[in-house]
Amino acid sequence: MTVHNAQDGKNNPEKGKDGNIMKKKVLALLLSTAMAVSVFAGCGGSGGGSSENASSGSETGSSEEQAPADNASEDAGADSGAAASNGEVVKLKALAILHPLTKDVQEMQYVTQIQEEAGVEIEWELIRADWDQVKATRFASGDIPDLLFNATTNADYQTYKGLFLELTPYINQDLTPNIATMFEEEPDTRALATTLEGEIYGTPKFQGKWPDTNTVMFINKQWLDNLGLEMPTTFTELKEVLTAFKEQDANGNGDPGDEVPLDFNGWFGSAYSLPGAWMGALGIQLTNQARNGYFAEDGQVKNYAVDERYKLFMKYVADLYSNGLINTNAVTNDYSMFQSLSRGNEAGDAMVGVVAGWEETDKFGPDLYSQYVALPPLAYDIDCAADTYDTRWKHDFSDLNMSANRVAVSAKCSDPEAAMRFIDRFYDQTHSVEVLFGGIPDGNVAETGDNSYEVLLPPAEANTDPGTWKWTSTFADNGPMYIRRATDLKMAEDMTNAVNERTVYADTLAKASSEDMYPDMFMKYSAEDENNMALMQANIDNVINNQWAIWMVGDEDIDATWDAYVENVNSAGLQDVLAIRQAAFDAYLGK
Amino acid sequence: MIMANANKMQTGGKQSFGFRAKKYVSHTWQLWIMLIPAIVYIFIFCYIPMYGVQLAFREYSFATGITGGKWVGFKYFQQYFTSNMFWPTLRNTFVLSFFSILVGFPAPIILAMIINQLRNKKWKRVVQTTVYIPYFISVVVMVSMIQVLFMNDKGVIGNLLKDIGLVSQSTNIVGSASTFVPLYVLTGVWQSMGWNSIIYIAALSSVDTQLYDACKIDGANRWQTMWNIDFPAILPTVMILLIMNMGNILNVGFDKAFLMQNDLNRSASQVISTYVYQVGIKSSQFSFGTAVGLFNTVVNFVFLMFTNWISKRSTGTGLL
Repeated sequence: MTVHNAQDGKNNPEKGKDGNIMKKKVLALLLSTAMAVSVFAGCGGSGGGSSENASSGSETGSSEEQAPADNASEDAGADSGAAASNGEVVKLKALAILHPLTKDVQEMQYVTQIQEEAGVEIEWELIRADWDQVKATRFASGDIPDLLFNATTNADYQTYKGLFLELTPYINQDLTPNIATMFEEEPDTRALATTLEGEIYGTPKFQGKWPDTNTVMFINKQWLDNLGLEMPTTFTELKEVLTAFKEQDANGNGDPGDEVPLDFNGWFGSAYSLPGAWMGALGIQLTNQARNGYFAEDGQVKNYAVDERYKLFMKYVADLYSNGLINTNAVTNDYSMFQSLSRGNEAGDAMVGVVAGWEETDKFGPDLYSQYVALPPLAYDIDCAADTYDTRWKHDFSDLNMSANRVAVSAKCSDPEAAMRFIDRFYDQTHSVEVLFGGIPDGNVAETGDNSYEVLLPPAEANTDPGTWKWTSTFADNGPMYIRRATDLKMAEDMTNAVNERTVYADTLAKASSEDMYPDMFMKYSAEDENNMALMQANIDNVINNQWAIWMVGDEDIDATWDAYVENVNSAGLQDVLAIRQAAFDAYLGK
Repeated sequence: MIMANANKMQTGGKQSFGFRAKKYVSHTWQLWIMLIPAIVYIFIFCYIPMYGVQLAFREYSFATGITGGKWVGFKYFQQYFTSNMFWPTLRNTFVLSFFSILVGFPAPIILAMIINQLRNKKWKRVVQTTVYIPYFISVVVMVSMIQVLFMNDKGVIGNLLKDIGLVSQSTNIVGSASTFVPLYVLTGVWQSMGWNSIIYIAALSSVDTQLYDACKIDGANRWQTMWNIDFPAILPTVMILLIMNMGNILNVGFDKAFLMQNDLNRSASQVISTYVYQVGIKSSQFSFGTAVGLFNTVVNFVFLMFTNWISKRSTGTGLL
C-alpha cells in the first residue's frame, strides 16, 4: 500500500493530482458497490470480472484461459524477430495513465517518432483519473494490453503473479542499449526495479535534475514587512508572527479578521503538511515523503506517529490551533480548496501567511507569488534551548528523481522484443528530455547542442504557465526516461524557481546521512509480508489519521490520551510492520 | 397470492400429488409467468455470484482465481474479529443504522399521515412534491451540499444552527465525530422522507372514506382519527417495511459515509463498508474484504429473521 501511494505525490509534485480527493471518491463508488455494498459478499470476487470487462474470462482468473485481445496479434508477432529488420510494423496495445491535463499520446509527435524508430504501431488506451480504483478489478480480470505505462506498483507483481512479463532476459546492450546504460551508470535504478526474487517487471526512470526536497515552507514576506516583523527562526517566534498575522490587518485590506495565519493539507506523508515541513525541527530526518510516518534513525526504522517528539510537536500544533492560528477548515478542505485559498480572494488580497508548497508561481498564482519567500528551517525551542534538537529538513531526492514501474509488459505480449525495443527508445538521451518536457517536433524543447537542450516557453496564445504546459504536452514526470547527469538542460522559470527557493534548505538537507535515508521504494517484501503489512497499515492508519486531528482541534488532551494512543497503534500491528520493514531495510543497507 | 394458493392446496389436500400439482399449475400459471423476470434476475445477480463467497474461506491468488486459492477456513474472519478495527467498525455501523431507522423510519409515516389530513388538493400536491424532490439529488451532490452548507465559519445552515444555540459555536459540524451521526441521519431523513412517504400515502388513500365519516359522527378529533383509522390502516405496510429495514441494519449506505469521512470524524464514520473498501479493494486484500462482507450479511440475516419473528408474534404480519 505504501508503494501504491507512493505513485501520486512524487510523480507529480507540481499539480498534486492526489489532492482531488472528492473526485476520486466519486468514482470509487462505482467500484466499491461490487464488494462493499453488495448483499452477498461473493460479489467481491466476481466484481473483478463484471465491472470492467464483461467479455473476459475472469471467473477462473487463470491466465492461460484468458488471452483476450492478444489472439488477434499473435500471428503478426510470430515472426517478430525479423519484424524490425525487414521493416514490418508490429502492432501492440498500450495503456497509459496520464495526468488529467495531458493531451492524447497520439498527438505527441515525438512519440510517433519513437514508434517509427522501434518499428511498432501502438494502439493507445488513455486513462486520466481514478486508476487506483479500477486497477484491482482490471488486473484481477487478467485483461490487460501489451504495455502498461505508469500503471503498476511493486505489490501488483506479487498479487497478480503471472500477469506481467519478467524483463531481465530482454534487458541487454543489444536489444535495450539505453536501459542497460541507465542500469550501469545509475545502479540505484536497477536496485529500484529489481524485486526481492531478483526479477524485473517494470522499467524505472531517472530524471536527476529535480531538487532535494519536495516541500518548501512559504511565508508572506510582504505581511512581515507590513507589520514590521522579522523572519521567524524558532517555533516561539513563529507563533508570535502568526499571532500578529491573525490580530492585525496584515494584508492591508482593512479587515483584520480575514487573514489565515497558517494553512496545510493532509498529514502523514503529505508534502504540504505540518509534520512534513517541521518534524525535522525535532531532529527527525524524514526522507522520501515519509509515507505513513516511517523514517530511519541510526539504521533503525521507526514511525514518528508514536515518537515522543511527535507528542511535543502535536502539543505545539494544538496550541497554535487553540489560539486560532491555523485554518479551521484545514482538515476537511480537499486539495483544490487548499490551493485556491493560497491564491487569494476575489479582490486579489493574499489570504494565507504561512503555507507549504512545491513552487511559488504554482502555489500562489501569477499575482501573489512575489509576496512569498521560503521560510528557512525553524528551531524547536518550546521549554528548551533552541539548539536542543538537531534541525533537519525532509530529503526527497530519490523520491523526486527516481521511480520504479514506469512501463510494464504483459506476460501475454505477442512480441516482447518489439515491446522492449519500443520502451527503450523512451530512454534515449534526446527522447528522455522530450518525455519530461515535451517533444522537439511539438515545439516544447529545442536541441541547442550535442548534449544540450533548452525547454521553450509556452506560446503566448496558449495562455498558460510552463508547469502546466509541460503537463499538457507530454507524460512529464510520469513517463519513462533517463535524463543523463551530463545532459545540459536549460529549464523554464518554474523549475529554476523551484531550485532557487530550496537553497535555504541546502545546509540542513546536507545533514542527512545514509543511515538516516529511508527510501521506501527500494524496499522489497515477500508477498506474504506485503499482504500482512497492507492489512496492518490500514488499521494503523485508521488510528493515527484520526488522532492527530482530534488532538489538533483540542477534542482530546494529548498528555491524557497519549499512552492509550500508542497502545492502540501497537495493537493495530505497528511493531510487526516495523519488524518487517527493519528486515527489508537491513537487507537494503547490506547491499 | 401464491402463498395463499399454496396454503389452500396444502389444507385442501386429500387428492393425489399429481392431481394437486396439475390443479395448482392450471390455477396459477399466469402468475408464474409474470414472476419469471424477477426469478431470472435474482438467480443471475444474487444466486450465481454467491459462488464467490468461497473467497472468504480461501487465500485469494490471482494466478488460480476465485475457486483456486488454498482453503484457509476461518482465517480471515479471525483476522477481522481479532483486529482492533472489529469493534469500532461494528459499533459505528450499528449506531448509524440504528439511528437512521429510529429517526428515519417514523418520519415518513408521520409525514404521510399529515399530508393525508390536508384537505386542499392543490396545497397537498405542492407539499408532497416539495418534500420528495430532494430524493433525486445524487449522494455525491448531496455530500457536497452538506460540506458547503455546514462548513466552518461560512456554512449558511451551520451558522444558523450555531446562532440559535442548537450547536455550540466552537463545533466544526462537518469535522467532528460527535456531529457525524446526527448530520448523517438528519440529512438522510430530509432527503428520503418525502419519497418514503409515498407508499404510506398510497396505503392511506385506500382507506374507506365511510370510516372517516363514521369517525366524525362519533365526534372524533383529528388526532383520534389519525390514531384509530389511519394508523391501523397502514400498520401492515409499516411492519413489512420495518422488517425489510431491519434486514439492512448493517448495510449502511457506503457512498454517503465514505464521502463524508475525514480525519476528524473517522472514529465515527469508519463503518464496515468503508473499511472493506479501504482494506479489501484499495489494499487488494480480496479474501479479507469478502470475509468481512459475508459477516455483515450474516448479521443482517439474523436481524431480519429476528424482527420477522417478533413481528409475527406481536402483530401477525410477517414476510415468511
